[in-house]
Amino acid sequence: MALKSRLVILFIMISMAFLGLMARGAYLQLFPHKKLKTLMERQFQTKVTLRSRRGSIYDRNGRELAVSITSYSVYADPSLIEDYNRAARKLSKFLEPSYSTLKKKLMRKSTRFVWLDRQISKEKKDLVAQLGLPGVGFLEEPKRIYPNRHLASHTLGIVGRSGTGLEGIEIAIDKKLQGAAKKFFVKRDARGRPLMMDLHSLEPPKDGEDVYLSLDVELQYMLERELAQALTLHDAESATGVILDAKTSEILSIANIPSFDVNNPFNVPPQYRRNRAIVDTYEPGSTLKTFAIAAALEKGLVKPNTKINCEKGEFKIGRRIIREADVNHKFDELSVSEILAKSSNVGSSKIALMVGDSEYRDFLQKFGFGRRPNINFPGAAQGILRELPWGQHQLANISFGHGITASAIQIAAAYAAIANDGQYRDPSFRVGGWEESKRVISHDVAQQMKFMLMGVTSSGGTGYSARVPGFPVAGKTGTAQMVDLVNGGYKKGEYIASFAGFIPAHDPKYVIYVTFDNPKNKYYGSEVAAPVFSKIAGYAMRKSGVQPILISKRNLLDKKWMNIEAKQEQEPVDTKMRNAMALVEKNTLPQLKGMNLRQALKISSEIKADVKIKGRGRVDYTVPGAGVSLNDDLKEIRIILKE
Amino acid sequence: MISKWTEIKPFLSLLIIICSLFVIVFAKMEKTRLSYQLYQQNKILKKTKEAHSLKLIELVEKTRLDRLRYLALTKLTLSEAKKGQIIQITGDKIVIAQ
Repeated sequence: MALKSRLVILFIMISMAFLGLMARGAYLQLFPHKKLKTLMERQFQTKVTLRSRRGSIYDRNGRELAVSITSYSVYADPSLIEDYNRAARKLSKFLEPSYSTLKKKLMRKSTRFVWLDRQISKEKKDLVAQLGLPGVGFLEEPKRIYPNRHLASHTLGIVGRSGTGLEGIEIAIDKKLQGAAKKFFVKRDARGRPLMMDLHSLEPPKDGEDVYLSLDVELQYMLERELAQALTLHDAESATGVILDAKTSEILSIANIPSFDVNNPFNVPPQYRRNRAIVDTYEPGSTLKTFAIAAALEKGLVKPNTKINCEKGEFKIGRRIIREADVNHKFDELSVSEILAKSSNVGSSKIALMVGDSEYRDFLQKFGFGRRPNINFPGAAQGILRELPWGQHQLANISFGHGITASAIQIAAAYAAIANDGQYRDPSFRVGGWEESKRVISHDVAQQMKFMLMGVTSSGGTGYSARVPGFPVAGKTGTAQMVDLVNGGYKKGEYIASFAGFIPAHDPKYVIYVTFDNPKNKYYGSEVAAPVFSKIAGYAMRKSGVQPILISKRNLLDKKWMNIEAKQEQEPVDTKMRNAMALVEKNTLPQLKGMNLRQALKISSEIKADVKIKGRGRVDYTVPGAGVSLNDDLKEIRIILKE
Repeated sequence: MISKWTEIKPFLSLLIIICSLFVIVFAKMEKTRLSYQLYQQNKILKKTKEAHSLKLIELVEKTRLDRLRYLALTKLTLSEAKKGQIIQITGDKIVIAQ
């Protein structure tokens, strides 16, 4: 074969080989293999995760309750550690685990990754980095800080190491707080550093939203402090307190004692971390009498002054006997107001029997009992409100808060409905995000209830020690036996003492509910819970700047009620005047006591004798006294007025 | 003149091509430089934000209510409000004597 032919063949073969290579190259470029693509990406690209900042939690006034910062976690590759003894000794100076623990971790040569310590501060990280130990590295991790430590711990809840909410508000609004982390691939340089060349990498990740809760840090602190002091004083097992805004049912404060430091939540057993005010229910005791009486008033079955026979403290229903909480209380006849003020079990039982089981159950449901409150909090309890029919004895028991369970927040919300002139709102942690209110009792019945509840804190009432000087207080004490969950029935000598009320009674601003589990030295709500209510309510009034008022009918009754009362009073006064004038015509000095100056002058103008008036206010007495004959011998009559 | 222009043309084309290549290379280098600068600035911003958060936490911890109360009672000789003691903080009316 000629040389030229050979060269042509060689040229064709080389050309074909190149063509083959080019075709393969084109194939790889146009139809890349999955595995090869991954290899290529690994070589030139790096995955960047921009973590979003978890939103902060503030109270209603913008004070920080929970804030997120960046922390550093220390890891090691044990295979790269040459002298684990030396490394462990050096690291133990700055890290939390002990020398022996660190040594054990670093000795695990079979594994390439071990955590040495989690979430350390920047200062510690810098100190560890200065050691220059090969095989020791750091990873950034978010850390949640609660600067107020114990404050509102049960409400705030906890966050896991991965930055996800695990309990409380942190889990309830986790999505809102979390934001959205941003993950994308970027090209990297020879040293592995990302090259920020893509426009989308310039956009920061969407941070979590900051959240403002309805809580008020100052009220929260005061509530927790007072509960803790009283818990120690009465040697109680636990204490719970709730403060609601009376108009909106916003939760201003919610406290459970014993408390825990949210920064170290796992140092206490899980039961200490439960927000018992929301997730636990119990028999509320006498604080429920308010609603039996409100139901009867709403149905028009009784009036505040209707007399009820309280059977001298023992009321037989079938084979069972209802007794007063205090065996020394042997009431004969009490008005409905007095039944509430003196907390008569027999009286409230009789009232509930008048209302009937079906209507009473519906009524309680309207006030939020037996249903889960629409509150954005995990595990909110609904309580037990048994299905109908109720036996008479059961109905009587429920009237004074036994045989029914409710959470502290449910009871507070029910009292808020009375304080809010008969309009119920579910309690809420949102500022200004409350729902439409529902009317559960008429305005007039709510007013009547307010005044009857004020009677509870007046002289002779069980809640006398709940008074706050300068401010009218409405409320009700409660003392319930603790249920024995092991053996059934009630625990002997163990009680739940509580007080529910609102202040100032004529224009409520705060609804406060406090309860103590198993106080040892005293156990009545009037002795244990009412004084705590007084302290908290007094502080709340001072803090809010509400001016103290002179406690009188004029200041407390709303205008509509004043008009009704004035009309009711009008008639007897007119009758009294007519009778007095008739007596003057018969020449007899009438009884002027209690008359105002105008009325006294009108009558004295018909008397021939000189009339001298002394003092100010209403007629206290006359000289001579009533019944004296107005003959000519009588020269002078003195009318003494008194304010 | 025309012949001279025709003679220069290939060199001009070559010059334009070379310049364009230089501009492209320069632009790419500038992009890389700016990206590093941005990266550094982001790091500084993050550090500043972090320092701000830490200072904020420090401030909140120092003004914790229990701490303030303790300081008020021990250092400032203030005392706790007693029951019945009316402290009028706001408002313009005279407090009614109780």
